[in-house]
Amino acid sequence: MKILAPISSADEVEMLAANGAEEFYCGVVPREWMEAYSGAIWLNRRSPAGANLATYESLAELVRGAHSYGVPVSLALNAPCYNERQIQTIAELARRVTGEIGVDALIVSDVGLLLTLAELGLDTRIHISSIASALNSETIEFYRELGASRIILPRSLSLREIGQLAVAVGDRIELEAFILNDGCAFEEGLCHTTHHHRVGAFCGNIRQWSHDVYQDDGRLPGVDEQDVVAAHVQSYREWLWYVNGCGSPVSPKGLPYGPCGLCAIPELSRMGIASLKIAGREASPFRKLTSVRLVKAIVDMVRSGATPEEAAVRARRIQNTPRLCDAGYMCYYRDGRGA
Amino acid sequence: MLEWAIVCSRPQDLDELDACLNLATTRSGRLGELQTEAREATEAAFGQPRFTRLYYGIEFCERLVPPAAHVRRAYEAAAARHLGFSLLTPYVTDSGLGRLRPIFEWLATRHDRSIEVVVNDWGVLGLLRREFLGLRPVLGRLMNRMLRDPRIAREFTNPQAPAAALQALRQSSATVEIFRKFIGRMGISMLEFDNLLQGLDMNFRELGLSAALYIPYGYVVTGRVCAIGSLRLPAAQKFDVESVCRQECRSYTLRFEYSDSPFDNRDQEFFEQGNTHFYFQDRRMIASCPKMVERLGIERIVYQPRLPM
Repeated sequence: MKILAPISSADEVEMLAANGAEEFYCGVVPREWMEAYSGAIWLNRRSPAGANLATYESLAELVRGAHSYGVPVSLALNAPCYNERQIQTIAELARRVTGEIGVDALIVSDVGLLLTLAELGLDTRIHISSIASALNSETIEFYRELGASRIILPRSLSLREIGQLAVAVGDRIELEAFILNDGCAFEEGLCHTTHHHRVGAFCGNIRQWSHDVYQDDGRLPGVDEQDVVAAHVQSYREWLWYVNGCGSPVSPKGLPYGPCGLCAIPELSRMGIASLKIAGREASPFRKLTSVRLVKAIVDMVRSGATPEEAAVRARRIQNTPRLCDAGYMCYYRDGRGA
Repeated sequence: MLEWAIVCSRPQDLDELDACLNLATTRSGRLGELQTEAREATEAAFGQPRFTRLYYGIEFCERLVPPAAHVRRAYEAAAARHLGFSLLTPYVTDSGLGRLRPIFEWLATRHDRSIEVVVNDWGVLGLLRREFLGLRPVLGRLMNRMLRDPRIAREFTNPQAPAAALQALRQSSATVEIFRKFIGRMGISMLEFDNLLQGLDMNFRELGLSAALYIPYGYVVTGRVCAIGSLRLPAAQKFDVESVCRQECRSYTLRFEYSDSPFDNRDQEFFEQGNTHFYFQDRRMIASCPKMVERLGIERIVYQPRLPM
């Protein structure tokens, strides 16, 4: 079970690799893409600004650095959908980053791109993005038959469901699971909104919007019922606050805030999950570093034979946010919550 | 000739089927106003629709997959009115696949080549291809992952935007030749689309595809965690995919007002039923449909008389 860290600059390689990152993933948005599409149409799931490298040269430097530590690099080509013109551009990009730069894997969600890459016969691995919504064993098999070597499981799967998938397909394909940061209120691949800076995340917006409630026949419910629904909507907004990172990328203690699956690491390890994904390519180097250290602390315990209970106690202690942990809304895997 | 299909999501919708086929207003309040506005706009744009197909089922939630007995009732209601039958299916976990299998088994016994299954999950398509080759798959609207964000769609499509960006916003994988060949091999007979605010820019006739368009509701986002679900559960059990579902989505609809837009579209509404947010296509959008249908070669309109949950 590897620790997969986000990275957005060659400058971060040494810091993250030396502190426990065993795999990297990143993105690149070359100038040609920006000229053709502006900042509105994203090449991958993250905004061009901040989360992505801007040149092939900087990507090559990052890959050289990572390989010097023996750390493989995967590249995100995971916009939800591409048209024919975009596919041609990305096919050329894929040829270049795998052939000339030595990127180890491509992260893909769009089936058109997946088919195109297969036809190119590139010497690379294909990881299926969480955006591809591989929620069931049939879908995973579908992607495996199209050449995938790893599935990044969607955030919405519970630990129980991941366990079932691991039993069903784990002997045929690698599985990767989210472990820290950046939740998603909806099914990521079925959220067709943008996080463009002018509007922000749709789920973040909802927390601010006023609402009415209607019964099925279109009438307003009674006052008491409206109060029950209003209280529930308030709870929903609170849950969204957790999902959206608890209002800040880092806690007052300097640790990453937001969704966390540390308590579930022992169980994910037992299931044979290949890789634990830390989200947040756009995060500051400091947040990336503290995230890697948090995950490594628990992974090291599991590797040295600690019990799940011991790992969970340690996870809660180092998170050091007992009130947030107790709420349960911060957990990636609420059915895997620890002691 | 343009084909019209009507959507029913619930067994009790079948009791109202004749009213739905006549586009009657069956709800009061704001939901009733939407029904009336959609009917008036549709009849103004197209004349009185003549429905020839029933869509039954659910696209958005595996917990709402109907039992085979309800599907049978819907199929028989369709047959009694000489309507073709399409089963709507959602994105699913293995649990949802298990719920779909007995429905497919029953549908397969009909030996009715007009039966379609609208798939919104590649795994569901895989299951059909492997075990139920007699059922015709249609690629549902959740399978084209085009941006559909009413908050910013019109800003993105302003005339100053680069031509390639505008094209990208209005096209899907349907424009990709290798994808079209692939879905052809998978037996896909039709692709479905929402009526997007930014418009569509694909000539399906030239691409050799059949396409369907959903009106008057488009979906914006959907997810496994349900907002109104878990309404009466303790806080610790709310918003958890493992929690018990009491189908609260079928009792309540939330209407949100987009009140903090940086643009001049602060009058937008979003309708949330269960785990999905929808936008309503206003009179102007529906009025533009006939030209779009003709220009793009759309063959079918899928009409939702109410929010499709």
